[in-house]
Amino acid sequence: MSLQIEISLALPGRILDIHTDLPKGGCLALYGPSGVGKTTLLRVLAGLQQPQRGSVLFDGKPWLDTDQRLLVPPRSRRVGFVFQDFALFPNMTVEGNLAFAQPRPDAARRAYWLALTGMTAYAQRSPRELSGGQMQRVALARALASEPQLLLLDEALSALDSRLRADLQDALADILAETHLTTVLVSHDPGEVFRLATQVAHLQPDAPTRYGTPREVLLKTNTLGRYALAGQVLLIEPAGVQARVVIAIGIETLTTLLNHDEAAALKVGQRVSVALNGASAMVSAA
Amino acid sequence: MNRIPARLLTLEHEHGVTLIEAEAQGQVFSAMLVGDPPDLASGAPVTLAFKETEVAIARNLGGEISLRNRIPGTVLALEEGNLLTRVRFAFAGQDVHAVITTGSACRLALAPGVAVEWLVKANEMGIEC
Repeated sequence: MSLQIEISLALPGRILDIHTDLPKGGCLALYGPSGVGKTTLLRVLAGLQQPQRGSVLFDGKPWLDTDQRLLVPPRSRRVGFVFQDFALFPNMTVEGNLAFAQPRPDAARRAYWLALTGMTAYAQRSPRELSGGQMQRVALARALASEPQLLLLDEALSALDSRLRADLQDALADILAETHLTTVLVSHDPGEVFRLATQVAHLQPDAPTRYGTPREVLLKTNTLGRYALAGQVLLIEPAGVQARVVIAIGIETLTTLLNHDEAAALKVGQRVSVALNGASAMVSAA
Repeated sequence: MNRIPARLLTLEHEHGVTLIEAEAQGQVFSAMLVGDPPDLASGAPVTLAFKETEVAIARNLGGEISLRNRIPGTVLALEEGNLLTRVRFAFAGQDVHAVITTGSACRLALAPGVAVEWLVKANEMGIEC
């Protein structure tokens, strides 16, 4: 089921244009920092929000066409939506959550999704009895149990610690390969995008959206051979003739030395791009 | 970060590694990059970019050395800290800085006017375009 998107979205102070074709079974990552409109685009795809103008075609059928005043309601789109905060029903068991999402009762299919997400042993537990990673697996299983045509993942793994996130990325990659589900995911994690996406739309607050494969988009910086990581300045302090700058990258931190002029141009909290020299990176097993 | 305007001379690529040579003020610089080759033609303007902490300084360097970027210069100024010292040179009408340990600066007896060579490994030389 292919997905064609041509959307203009009014955001505070600017217009976000996005146009892309995602083939059946592909995974499109909407990648970029907070506030660039990633989640808003996901909500447009789900039918929860309307853009100023544009169209969305799924498998050749229009879901949205502002020129024709056409809007297919969310319930008719068969979209599976996985949220960052899980959004499980706490008064139901794990299996109950899946059953609620199913278009028709089907215990065998519930068992299949529970097995695929590694949650068979937890079927009769309450969500309150689960860890964050387990809850996210259930949220994914529930979205899959709705038999969606399109899977939407809104920073679905970002609330988890890095090890759990890596495990779930592996599980999710296997699930997407098994189900061939056309998927759109929102992420600001380049590792996640690289692991899961077949196409990337890199949304930037002050530049046009860049499109390409993860390799084309993520491994291309203005400094050749250096790999850019998105980060946020945590600390700037004098360190003799240099300044020590601590930058958060995901949930990890990196400390570097900059000259005082470069450090003075930065502010705590500022979003920055960190360029790493690929050949100088030292790698060891975690 | 030191930045020097330059022009691309040659570009060789093999097995995900690209070796670039660029010229600035008659001096040839080398940069070794990991990744796909850039879409640049000979003569294209580029900027050599390298951190102050990646610059080494030598006096009376004899014999052969593997470092490809080896540029003669004269110390213009020093800013000494307890552990680290910033050394300023002039190159092509602009300042180039090195940050080395204060112990090394003392050992080399660096002072304004002293003739030295500053060196950067090709691996630590970045190319901006």
